[in-house]
Amino acid sequence: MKEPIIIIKNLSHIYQTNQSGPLQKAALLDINLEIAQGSCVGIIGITGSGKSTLVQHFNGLLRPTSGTIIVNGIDVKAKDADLALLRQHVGMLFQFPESQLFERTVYADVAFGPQRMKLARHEIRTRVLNALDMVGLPHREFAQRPPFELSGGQMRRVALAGVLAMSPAILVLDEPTVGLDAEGRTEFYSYLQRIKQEKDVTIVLVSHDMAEVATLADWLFVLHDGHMVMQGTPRSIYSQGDALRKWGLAAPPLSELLTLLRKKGLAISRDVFTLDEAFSLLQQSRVLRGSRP
Amino acid sequence: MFRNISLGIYYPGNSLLHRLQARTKLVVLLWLIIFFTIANHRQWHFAPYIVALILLMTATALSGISPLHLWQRMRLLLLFAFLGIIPTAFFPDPSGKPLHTFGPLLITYAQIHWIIFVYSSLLAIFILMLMLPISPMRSFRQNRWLRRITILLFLLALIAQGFFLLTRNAPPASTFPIGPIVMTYNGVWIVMSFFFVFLTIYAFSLLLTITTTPIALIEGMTLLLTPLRWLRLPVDDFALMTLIALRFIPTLIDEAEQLVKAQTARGADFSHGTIRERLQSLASLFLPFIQGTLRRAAELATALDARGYEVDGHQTHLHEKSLGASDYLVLATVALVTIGSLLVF
Repeated sequence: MKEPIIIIKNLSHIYQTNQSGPLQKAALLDINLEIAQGSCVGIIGITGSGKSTLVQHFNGLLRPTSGTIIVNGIDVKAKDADLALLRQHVGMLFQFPESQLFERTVYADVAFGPQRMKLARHEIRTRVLNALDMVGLPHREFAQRPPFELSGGQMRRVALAGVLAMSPAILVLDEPTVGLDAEGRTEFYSYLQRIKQEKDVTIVLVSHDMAEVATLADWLFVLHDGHMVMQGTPRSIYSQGDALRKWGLAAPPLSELLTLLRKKGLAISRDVFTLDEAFSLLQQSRVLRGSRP
Repeated sequence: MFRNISLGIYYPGNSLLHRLQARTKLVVLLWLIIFFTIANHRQWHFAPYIVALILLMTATALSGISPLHLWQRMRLLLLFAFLGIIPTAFFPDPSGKPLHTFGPLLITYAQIHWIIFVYSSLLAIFILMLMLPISPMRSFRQNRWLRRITILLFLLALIAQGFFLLTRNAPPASTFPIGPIVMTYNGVWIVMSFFFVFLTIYAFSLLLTITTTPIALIEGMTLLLTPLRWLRLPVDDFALMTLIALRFIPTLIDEAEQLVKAQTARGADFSHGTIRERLQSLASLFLPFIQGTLRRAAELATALDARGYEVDGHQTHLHEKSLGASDYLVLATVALVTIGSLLVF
């Protein structure tokens, strides 16, 4: 495993609300995790489990109440932490990112991030055009158009390009495909795959949908009520359907089906995970038992 | 940053005051204002004020709010009101009967100069002491009240120096009169009554907002304003507009927070940088926020249309609220007690 790029030890975050006296609401309690460089991890949990709170610590938007978090060598809790530098290393895309577009042209909006980094003008231009190409919006067509003329999925990709143009080492995506139709979702994930292959970024996906992180993630963290309850590879996590149900999550339909088949007595090894594997396994077993297809 | 904007100070509860209709409470408050205006015309009659105080104490007891809590909310404003009204006791109109005269204090210029000199040197020593790098001094310096007082003292020293500069040529023996300050009966009465009225009305309006949800308050106001509908004033529209605004304020605050986070994550810094950079960062918030608000408004209008909302139709309430026994009781008690106190003397 490569060097961990995010190291979290005993992280807790408690919200202070001063409505009627200090009401302590613990959003995160005693989280320990490490994310290896270049990997793609998924953070899953139901709404209110603390996933958004956790990832907002990665770029310094929130500071831990206790515990330590070190992101790419920067200690987020330290008083003199260079948050501006941290935010250049960690690119974060929030939910419904199309609502944050504001410039007159797509080019100007994507260039917002690099401009804040005080880069030279031709450097900004290179980055913006590369970012637009990487998210599937060819810059010749789209760079000079107003962002509000585009469809929702396209605006979302413009927002992603805006984050990619800063060349972050870590890319955090908070529920990136919420509100997209199935086609939009697959398209988005194809771009994400491409980014994962071409650039050496660490990707952190936050989601409540297990199926969508299944294909991309190498490692999963499951949160519930502010605690980290499970972690492991997607295969191991998905095979524990009962535990997942306890935390309010459901394994993808295929895993559920395989678990049910196992309960009925069919011998299916725990390695079987994707649709192709299951299909070929079942085909094999039919041949073995000699039944006609 | 936006979380601290609390919308009203409503505390949920089940006391008598919570169960009263908003209309009753509003009417009582308005009546008390009129009552005090009438009572103010007769000086040196304490009955109305004592009665009002008793009403206030009863209301606080009935509302389930601890008086200490009420006091905590009121004390800052009361302090300012008090400071503002005190001068009128000392500089009232000259026609009133004087209570007491603080005779003119005659000070020689020599004495004044001497006082200024001593004060300035003491202040200089004080500031020098503050600058010493000893650790008890450091914690002393952190105290922000101390810093504010130091600034005040410094200003006072500057004024004193100015005075000194202006009067340096005056002969040392001649006197500078600090003029006679006359305190009249009238002045004292005005101070007392004003302070009292302010305290009572403020406390009552606090009780009103603490025991009434903003929505109930708006509905109560609308019901009280229904006679204005006959004058063809848009009372219903006013009510709907205010209620929609109240309902959407938390949503818009959330959206604004989200935008700030999103733009901060892209490197926008709203507190550092040149003016131009900061304005640019603010522009990145402004446009999407307005866009989101307008989009919400358009969607809401469509939704209202789809539910059959008509602009000049009469809206009826889902839960018709009528005045109950406790409402009538409270209104009758307040009316009797206040009018009685006016007529007694």
